[in-house]
Amino acid sequence: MKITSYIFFFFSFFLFSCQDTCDYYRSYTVYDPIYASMESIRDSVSFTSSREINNPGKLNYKDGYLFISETQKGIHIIDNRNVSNPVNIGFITLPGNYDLATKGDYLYADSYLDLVVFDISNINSITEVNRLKNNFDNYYLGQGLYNEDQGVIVGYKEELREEIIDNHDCGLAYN
Amino acid sequence: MRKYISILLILLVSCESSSDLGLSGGRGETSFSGSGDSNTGIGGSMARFTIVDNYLYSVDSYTLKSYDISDQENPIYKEDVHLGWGIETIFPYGENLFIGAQSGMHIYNLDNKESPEWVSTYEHMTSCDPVVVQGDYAFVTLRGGTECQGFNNQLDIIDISDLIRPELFKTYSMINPHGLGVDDNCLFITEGEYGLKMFDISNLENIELIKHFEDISSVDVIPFMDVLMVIGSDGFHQYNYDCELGEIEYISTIPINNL
Repeated sequence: MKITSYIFFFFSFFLFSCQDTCDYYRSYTVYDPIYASMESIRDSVSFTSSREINNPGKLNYKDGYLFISETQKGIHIIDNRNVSNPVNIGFITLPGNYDLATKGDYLYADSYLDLVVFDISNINSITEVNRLKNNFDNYYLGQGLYNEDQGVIVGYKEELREEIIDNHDCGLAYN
Repeated sequence: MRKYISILLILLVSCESSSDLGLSGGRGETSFSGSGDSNTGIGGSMARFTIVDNYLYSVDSYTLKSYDISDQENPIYKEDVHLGWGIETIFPYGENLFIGAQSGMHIYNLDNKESPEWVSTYEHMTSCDPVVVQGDYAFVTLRGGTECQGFNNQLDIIDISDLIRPELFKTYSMINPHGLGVDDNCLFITEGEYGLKMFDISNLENIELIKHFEDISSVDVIPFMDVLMVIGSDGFHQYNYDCELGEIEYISTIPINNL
């Protein structure tokens, strides 16, 4: 037993002395958050002509009209009074929208931290009439998607970074 | 040995089908997310906002918020109700809210609309699971996969005749179920990229696949007055359906340019 220990120790000494070191490049992708202030988001709300549907989310149907959330961007208005010919008639720009509900002449929708109320009595001219500011701030704070200094994270910038790592164990170069 | 096993299996199967619950055809009341009065819009099964009478409810991953909208233009925030984790969808039915979570389905009663109160939870394996309700049954789809955790892809029919003790009635396997909708004897299940299914559910012991449109993408549905509105990653599709005759027919599409 003792002899094998000595042999092992002897050889392991050799192993260490054989180790190479080398320099290598390491490249990796970083996703930098893009922040926007709630003030600028609130200012950007508008009702415009229809736009293409790209990334649909939630649906809400009321009296022949269908509201389809364009995830994180806003809400499409579809005139569906004639089901064989639905027409995309308008778009509410509402950054940070995921959900919506309707009742009477009103549409309720989220926009990042805020709960926003729209008057939909004139479907061709939808207007914002009220909002509960910072209503959802606990959730956004909790998820690390918002801080008071920078605002909310509205997206991520993809960046490829490279760095030289020198004098490193060569074995790690291919990790 | 094999023979014995197959005999055992047959016994198991026959046991299951012998429990006759004698369901009548139409179970009357039809509900959509956003039930209550006709003045309220109808949401899909994936909704996280809903309106019951003069109250708006929103859910995030952990919390239910209530708002008084008696004065519709001026909602008044009322209360935060802590729901646990992995909250995904909210569906109102009768005097209750059915909340789909990654851990199960929670039932909250609306005796106090300002502050819904927990009644019970039907627990299942971790997965994504919207819920819709009709009569004494809740229909829950479980979807596995990376964003949902879990491995199950199935439809669970849950007996909620006793709201305090919701019980699994029967499970049917699915491919990749997302949203769902129920109207009378029709149950619609969106299978994501695997299409759209329509089932006849007049016998819950043995629901029957009537049609599977495999060539469309579907994520959520709203069945309303014999028109099925379907949203998928490739378009907004509509169908005419007839639950009595068990028929469904394509009407129209607004294409979606998925970026």
